[in-house]
Amino acid sequence: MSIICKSSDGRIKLYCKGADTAILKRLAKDQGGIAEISVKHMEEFAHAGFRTLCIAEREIDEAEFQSWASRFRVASVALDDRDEKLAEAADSIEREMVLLGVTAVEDKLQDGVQETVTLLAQAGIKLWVLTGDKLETAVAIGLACKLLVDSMHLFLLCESALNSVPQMLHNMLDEARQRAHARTSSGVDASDMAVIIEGDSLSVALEENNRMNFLELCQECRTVVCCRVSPLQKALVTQLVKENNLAVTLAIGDGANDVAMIRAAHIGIGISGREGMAAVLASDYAIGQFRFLARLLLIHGRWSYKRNKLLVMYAFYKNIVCVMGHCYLAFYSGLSAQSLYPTALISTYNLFWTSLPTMVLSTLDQDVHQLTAESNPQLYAETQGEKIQSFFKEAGYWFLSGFWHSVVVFFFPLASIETMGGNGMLNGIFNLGVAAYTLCVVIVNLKIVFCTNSFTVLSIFVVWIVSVLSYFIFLPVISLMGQTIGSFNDLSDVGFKLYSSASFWLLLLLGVFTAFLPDWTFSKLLRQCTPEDYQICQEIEHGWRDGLYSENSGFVGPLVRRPPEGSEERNSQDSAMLELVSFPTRKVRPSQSDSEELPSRRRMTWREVLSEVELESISRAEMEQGWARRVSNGFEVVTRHSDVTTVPRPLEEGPLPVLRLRTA
Amino acid sequence: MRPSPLLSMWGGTNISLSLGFFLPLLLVQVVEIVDEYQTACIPSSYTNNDERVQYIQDVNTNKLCTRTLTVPKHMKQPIFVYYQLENYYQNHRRYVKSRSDKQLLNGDSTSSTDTETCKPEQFLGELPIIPCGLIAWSLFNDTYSFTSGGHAITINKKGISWKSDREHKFGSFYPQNFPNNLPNNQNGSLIGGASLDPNVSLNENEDLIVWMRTAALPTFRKLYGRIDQNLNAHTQLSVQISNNYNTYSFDGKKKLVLSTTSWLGGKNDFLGVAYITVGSFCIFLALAFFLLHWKHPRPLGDTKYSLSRGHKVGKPVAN
Repeated sequence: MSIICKSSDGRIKLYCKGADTAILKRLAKDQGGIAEISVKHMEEFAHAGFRTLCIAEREIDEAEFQSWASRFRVASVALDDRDEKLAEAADSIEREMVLLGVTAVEDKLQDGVQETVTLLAQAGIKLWVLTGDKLETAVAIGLACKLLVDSMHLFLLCESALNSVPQMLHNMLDEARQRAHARTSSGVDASDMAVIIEGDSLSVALEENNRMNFLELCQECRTVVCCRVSPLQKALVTQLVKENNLAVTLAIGDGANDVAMIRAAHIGIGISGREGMAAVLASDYAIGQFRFLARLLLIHGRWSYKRNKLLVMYAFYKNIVCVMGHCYLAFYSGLSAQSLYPTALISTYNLFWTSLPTMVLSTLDQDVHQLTAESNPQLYAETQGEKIQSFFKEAGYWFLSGFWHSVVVFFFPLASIETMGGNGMLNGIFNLGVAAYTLCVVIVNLKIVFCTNSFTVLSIFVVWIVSVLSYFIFLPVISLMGQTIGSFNDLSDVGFKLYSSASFWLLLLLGVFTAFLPDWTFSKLLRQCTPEDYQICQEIEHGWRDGLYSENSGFVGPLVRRPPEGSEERNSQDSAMLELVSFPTRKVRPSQSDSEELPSRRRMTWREVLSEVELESISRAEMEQGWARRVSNGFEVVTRHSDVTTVPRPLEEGPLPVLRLRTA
Repeated sequence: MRPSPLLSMWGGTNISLSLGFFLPLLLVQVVEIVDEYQTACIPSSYTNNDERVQYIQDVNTNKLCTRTLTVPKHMKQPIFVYYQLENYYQNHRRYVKSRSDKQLLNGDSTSSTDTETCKPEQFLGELPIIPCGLIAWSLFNDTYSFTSGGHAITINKKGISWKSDREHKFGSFYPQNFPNNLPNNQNGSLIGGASLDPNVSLNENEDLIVWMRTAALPTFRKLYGRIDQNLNAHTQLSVQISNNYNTYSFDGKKKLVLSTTSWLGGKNDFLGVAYITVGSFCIFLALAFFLLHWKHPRPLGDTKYSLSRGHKVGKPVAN
């Protein structure tokens, strides 16, 4: 990105900033070695986790500027291919520049990022990093966030040999499959492979022939880090996963360069912060800090999923119970579509007697406490991996329950309400209808009670008082009104007649019991024999622990999973095992054993491989501060950013650039 | 604490069984006599339904017939007399719609738009029919008179309809232009059932009020009257039936029913049987759950059942 300005003494200058590869290509030839030194310094900055930029300038004379300006103006109003023409025009002036210097910006990690990343990984969510930074910066940040662990197996696709990328992908995929197969057969979960790919290689990998290989490779790995990606490529990668993986993608970002990715993903989350509101405005959800993502997903996302599922299933269920009565009556009324219930009751069903309990259930019901949900990310797995079969099972259970209840609602009043007690008078069709309707309202509201996980005053109130009790008050009221108001004539006096007949009340009791006997048995059986995780957590919340009850109940801390006996703890491995399947420009230093703990074939640490830093050159100061470990079970923190600011490394002086703007 | 499922099962069982034992006991007292007469009350020279229809529609034939009923057990008063019709779809939508409640209440001051639903029984020529509609037109018109040992038994036909219907649904208006009052096929009208006495107002015509409360099923009973005396066991009742109503066009059945009632209503075993059935199911399930808890106990809150990453387990993860 550049800007052309005219100073007060008439000189026209072009100032440009950008990534090192872009700027270095455009420098004039006689820089006197400043470029190499700058590159070296930039690499050191990047290792330390800084984000680096190069600044360059160029002085332009008047004539050249005028001709270029006219070309640029023409390009900016071009009717077709405007972007290409503008890029071309800009490219023509951004040449022969003089390097001014290098900037390094510390972009501190927010609080809680490591914990969030760990939680999300435990919840079964795969995390990919797409950044515009350099490779070294991205790796440093990944190590700091615990996305990348020292013990991971790395697949590296960097920029140097673009035409061998397809072949490399092929080889890497085979190897990844082999490793995954070997891993699962030995019973250890969590594949520990990672892919690191740079921008140009990424564009080759996203081509038609290579996409699926790339995607498969990434699926086998735990983490994918893409460096030097442009915003367009971020969106393309997201789309690749979204379309082919059949997984739900969530994109989170905080800057304007993340907008394309946020919009491409299923769920886009913007972090509102220092980089402006562009990401927030384009996103579906906006949060204040990255660590809130854990709460958003594990607590609210999980509850929302369960409540939504419950709401949809329940809505179908309650309408089946109500409406199937009409279908059954059709067989008794000559298929003439006579309605079982009077219209006044039909219209109030979804409006009054079943609406509030549904709303309260689907907005306020919590199956486990929020702290339990946050501490146990494996509970999140209940919302993942929904296949069609499990949907049909769930829907089948609800529909079956609905049909059985509708049978009870229709046939039990049919069989039991005929005469109305001692006065010999008989019931008409609307007596039957109202009796069936009453049974329906009671059963459907009781089903809400069955499905409720957390009983609060509000939920009990809306079910029993607002819905059921007010229905029982409504019925005689409207029976009274039916004597005078024309549209309620069907209901005239029906309520009173029903209330005064003992068989109606006995029928209610019987109907409720019969309807819920299968439901209740089935759910209790499932809970006894194959309990779900959240049910165990509910029991623990209530104070039960391994069969013993104690009074101090509360939320459930992280349930420690006992590892299966006999598995090796892989964390005890030494430093990174890195088998390079890439091309040979990155050299691997042969072993020079420095300590007894290292095996004879020395394995390079990540930092060493990526930076070709020789072991001997790591200064003593660094080792004392823990910046590098040769024998380790993984870098815990590659860089301690707070240390960096307190101990700045001295820069090497270089020759001054040829042209330098003298500030006044 | 979470209530044990066993307790709930036992509770349900108790309720169900206790009620199930009581209900059949109470209903044992209901005594019922049912007599089907639609075939028996037509001379046997008419063999198929078409001839029977002609017989019924002919005004000159003698429609009286005598039947004998035996009382099986002592019947305490009040004994209710019903007529039962079968294969008669009073719950058909067109039929149920075919009335005008406004006209029943307001008589001849209702406009013709309010009686739109009564078509085709809305007008007789140009004049409005009161009460309009198919339900009123098809009023049942068989009559019964009982004698026992030479003495006539009075049937009380007052107070057989719903009180609220008499007061709030039917007004004190007289029938006008009723098609059944005319001889058959005059002005193109058909006789569908009983004729209405133009001197009896609608809210005093209890047969009409009972008939207009449409029944729920194709097999239904309607109250005809009440006998306010006891009938001893093995009494021979002789009924004189005037078999006027045409059920032969649609192969319907007519039955005469005498029944006593209890606090629960007429003879209906369903509630008692259902309670016993549900109760026994509850007992069975309680036993089954008890066995399950005994043989395969699951300690509550046992963390061995918690999910291990990537696996869905119901059994403990590590033994």
